[in-house]
Amino acid sequence: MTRPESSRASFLAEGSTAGVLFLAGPVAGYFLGKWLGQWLGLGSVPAWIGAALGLVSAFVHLLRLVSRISR
Amino acid sequence: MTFRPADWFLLAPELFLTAAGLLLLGLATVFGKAKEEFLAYLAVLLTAVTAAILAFVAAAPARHAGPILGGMFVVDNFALFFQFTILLSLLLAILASMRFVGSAPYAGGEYYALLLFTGVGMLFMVAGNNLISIYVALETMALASYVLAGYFKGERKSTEAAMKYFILGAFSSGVLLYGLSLVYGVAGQLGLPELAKLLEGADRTNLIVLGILLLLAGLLFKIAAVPFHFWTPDVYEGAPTPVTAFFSVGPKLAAYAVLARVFYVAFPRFHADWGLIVAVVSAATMIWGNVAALLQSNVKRMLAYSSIAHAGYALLGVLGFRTSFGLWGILVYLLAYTFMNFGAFALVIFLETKGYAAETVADFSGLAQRNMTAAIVMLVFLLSLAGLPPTAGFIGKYYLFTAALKAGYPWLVVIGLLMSAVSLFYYFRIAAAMFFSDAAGAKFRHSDALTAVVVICAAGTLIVGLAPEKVLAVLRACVPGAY
Amino acid sequence: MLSNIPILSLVAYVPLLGALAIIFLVPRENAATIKAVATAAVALDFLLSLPLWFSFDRGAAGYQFVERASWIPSLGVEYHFGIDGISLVLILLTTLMGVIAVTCSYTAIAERQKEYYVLLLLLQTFMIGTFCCLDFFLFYVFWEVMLVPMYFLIGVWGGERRLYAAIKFFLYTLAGSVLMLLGIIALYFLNTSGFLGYKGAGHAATFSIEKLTAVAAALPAGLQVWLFFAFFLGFAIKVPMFPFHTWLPDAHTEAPTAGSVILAAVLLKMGTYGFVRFSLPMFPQAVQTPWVLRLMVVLAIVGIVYGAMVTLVQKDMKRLIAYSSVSHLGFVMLGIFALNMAGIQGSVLQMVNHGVSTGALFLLVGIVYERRHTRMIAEYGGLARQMPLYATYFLVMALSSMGLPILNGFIGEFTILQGAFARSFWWAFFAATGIVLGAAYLLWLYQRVFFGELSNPANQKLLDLTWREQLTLVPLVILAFWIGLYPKPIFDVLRAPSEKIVAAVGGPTATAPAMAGQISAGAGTGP
Repeated sequence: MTRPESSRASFLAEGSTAGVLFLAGPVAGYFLGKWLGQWLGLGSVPAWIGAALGLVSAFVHLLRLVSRISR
Repeated sequence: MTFRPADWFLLAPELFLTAAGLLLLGLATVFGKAKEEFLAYLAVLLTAVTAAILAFVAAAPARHAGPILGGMFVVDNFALFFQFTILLSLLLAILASMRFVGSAPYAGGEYYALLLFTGVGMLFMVAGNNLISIYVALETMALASYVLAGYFKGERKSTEAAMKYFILGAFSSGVLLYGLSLVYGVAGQLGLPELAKLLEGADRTNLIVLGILLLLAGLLFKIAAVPFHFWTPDVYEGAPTPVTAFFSVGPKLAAYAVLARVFYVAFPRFHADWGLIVAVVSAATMIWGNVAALLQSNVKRMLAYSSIAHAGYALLGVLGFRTSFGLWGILVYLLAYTFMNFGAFALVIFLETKGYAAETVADFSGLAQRNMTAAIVMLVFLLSLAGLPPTAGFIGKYYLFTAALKAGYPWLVVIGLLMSAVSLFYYFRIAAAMFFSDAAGAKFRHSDALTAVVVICAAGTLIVGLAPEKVLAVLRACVPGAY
Repeated sequence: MLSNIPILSLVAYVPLLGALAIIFLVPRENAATIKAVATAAVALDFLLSLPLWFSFDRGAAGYQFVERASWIPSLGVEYHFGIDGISLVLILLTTLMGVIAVTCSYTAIAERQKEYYVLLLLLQTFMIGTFCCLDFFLFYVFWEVMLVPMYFLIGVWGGERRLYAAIKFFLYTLAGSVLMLLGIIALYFLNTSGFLGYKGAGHAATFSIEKLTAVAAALPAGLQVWLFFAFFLGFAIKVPMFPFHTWLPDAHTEAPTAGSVILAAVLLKMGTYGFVRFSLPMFPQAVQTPWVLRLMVVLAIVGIVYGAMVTLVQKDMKRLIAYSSVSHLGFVMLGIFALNMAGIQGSVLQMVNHGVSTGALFLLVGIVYERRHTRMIAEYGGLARQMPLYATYFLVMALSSMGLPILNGFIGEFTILQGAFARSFWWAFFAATGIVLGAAYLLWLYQRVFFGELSNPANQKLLDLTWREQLTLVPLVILAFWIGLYPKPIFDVLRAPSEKIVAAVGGPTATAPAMAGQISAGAGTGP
């Protein structure tokens, strides 16, 4: 694909967010969930739910990105 | 770990199918667009021969010696049942694709070769006894299916679907691989039985649980269970309809087999962790799949969501796996699902609008007036999908709900039953269009291959529904010696 | 001799064979042959069912004409047919109504007749099969499958809002039945290995209704209540009990005449049959639990009174009769939950009566609808002068529905009131108000339609009943008078199974309905 320079940089940036999100999402979700679990007294269950939701949000972000690109 | 020469015989079906695929690929390069139909029939023949070889393998005494090739594969009854069903779905997919591929401007030989390669990946997957061999087989299947999704290279929708499928699939494989590596990091082993032994006395560390959950996530993506389902409607809608039909059955069969095997052989120790998660995922999938299907007017999208819902029902069998009902449930339900899904899609392909398969429910209008047999057959498939007696779908759902109840999830069974009732609403929208509406729908184009598909599927649905005993006897033979 | 022939299977499958004959042997255009084959099938079926009545052993308590074959051994499912007194009368009602439904459709249905008669015959088979089943799995199969032909009958040949009515009927009823499946599976496990911490009985796996009833009756009361409510929804929607009745007016109004007749006469009885045959013997402790019993009775009485009140304000004749069904079946429910001999025998009799009288009323409305294509009461008036025969038949069946002595409705209602009164004065009191309201709406309907000025010019050319239409009505009129004057044969047939049920729920078996003996004594000196 031929794109102008600035657009290519922004394209790369957008693409890398997807990859980064796959790491950051679950991790953030895990810790958020752990904190929530401690606050509500539910133990570590919300931690895993948070991690799963983080993973899901990473996938959704990826899907939206791909849909936008192919338009 | 010994490598016995006899082991290779047990892998003969897979090897033969690979050779068949390569042959077709070579022939396709030579012939191009010409002789496409011949290549299709050749593919059918080769698949049938593979099934015959599989039958020989099933009777081979060497099978009972246990895992082969250094513990990489195990050809037990469980795997054999799935392999037969996979070959059946391959056959149906080839037959269903013939007219579609024939009328499209793209060369068909490679298409059939790719189907066979996907089949090879699936055959290896269900026999996998080691996480690495499962992963490699899964990737084989996935790569071939990415290309299949985008086979109509000139269509925007098809390439878009392929790209989405590829990127999301690649990431999900990455997640799966990451989980796999975490498990390896903790256990130092990847063979399933060895993992079970090693983890038996192990502490429940976060690392191993994370690894297992990531593995689960990757597999749930392949099954299209909520919340990893969002790629399904777009990919199913964009891919060519016969490919969609195949996707809704084949990869799911293989992924279920893997899910069941991995989680029951390798990780029973952590049942407390993944059991509840699978239950919640199952409930969410059943609810979301059915509710979303209600809102669709595009038939392909509706069937996509319905296949998501069916994934939810099948997960009930995974939950109840320890009980005999659970194992039988998965097997009979996936067999029934193969029949009814392919049947329904075949009828969608029969109806042609603007050169493609039917797109909306309105395309089914008035079918009863124009071709009563087709309408009645579609009705049978719709009844089976909704789980009404006396069809195969009912028997399958009955087993699954029984399994879930026995495993101790009555609330899940209630949700499943209510969602089944809801599903009737959108299935019968098609029936209403067919029987109650006089409007002119899409043209019904005759095709022998599609008729064969429909006949096989209808026969399967009704036989399993009305006289399930023979099938169940076969299944019962699969239960002992499964593990 | 009869025990060697699988008579029940014959009775159940003759309509199916007729349907297959029509599908494969008769071309679509040959309407006359289609009707002939269909009529022959249902007539043959009715004749085949008569020996059941005559060979039935009134004194025996068990099931008769039993047929048993293995179907799915892995699950313990058998093909198990057998009837007792209650199923017997309902099967006879079904076969009779089948004949009437087919014959009344000759001129009412003009298009796609082949599919219509095929569906009607299929429906017959499934309904009779449901009444004959002694295996829960088989029962569930028939129960669910029954919905499909009815859905198509309403959806293809119905009125303007037929699509809405058809899918509402299907979904509503299906939602109820799926919970029933849960109950059945639960019972299956309680019979074998137990589930959810409840110990199982450890027997071999089976779906046999007799065995599962025994297992269920032995369960602790708390579990029985849960299971009772699992089955309750499926049956209550079918009855239909308040507040699950909202599907009924739409389905009845929009269905074609024969569809309404079959719906009212037979399909609605499935719900009450389920309660009498399954809920009561299987969950006796649940049924006797005070709050459960009170809830059931309250719902029944609300059904009676509310149903009657809503009927009063209806402007569409078919809708009026549909709502009156809610009221009538509320009566039947009250009789069932009186839990004594009079109540149960009265309720089963009233099931038959309702089939006869409401079926006939739907037939009559259909007759005039065929002529005028409107069901609005306001469109009619003064018909008695123009169609005296029709007015007579209508009067007889309206009085039958109302419960006038001499006619069948009176016997049923009186017996139920007797049973209810034995339990509580107030139950009988409220039920009696239902009778009063019933008289009100029926007489008012009759007055508006038949008396007064023949003002609407469209009505002035109406033809009276043809002899074919009379032929469909005559059997019902005869039955109405016969049951009204000589109900003893039916009560005899019902005695043994009712005793069994009443004994199961711990009621007094000594009190027999007053009518069982008295009227028969006075039959010779009847009015």
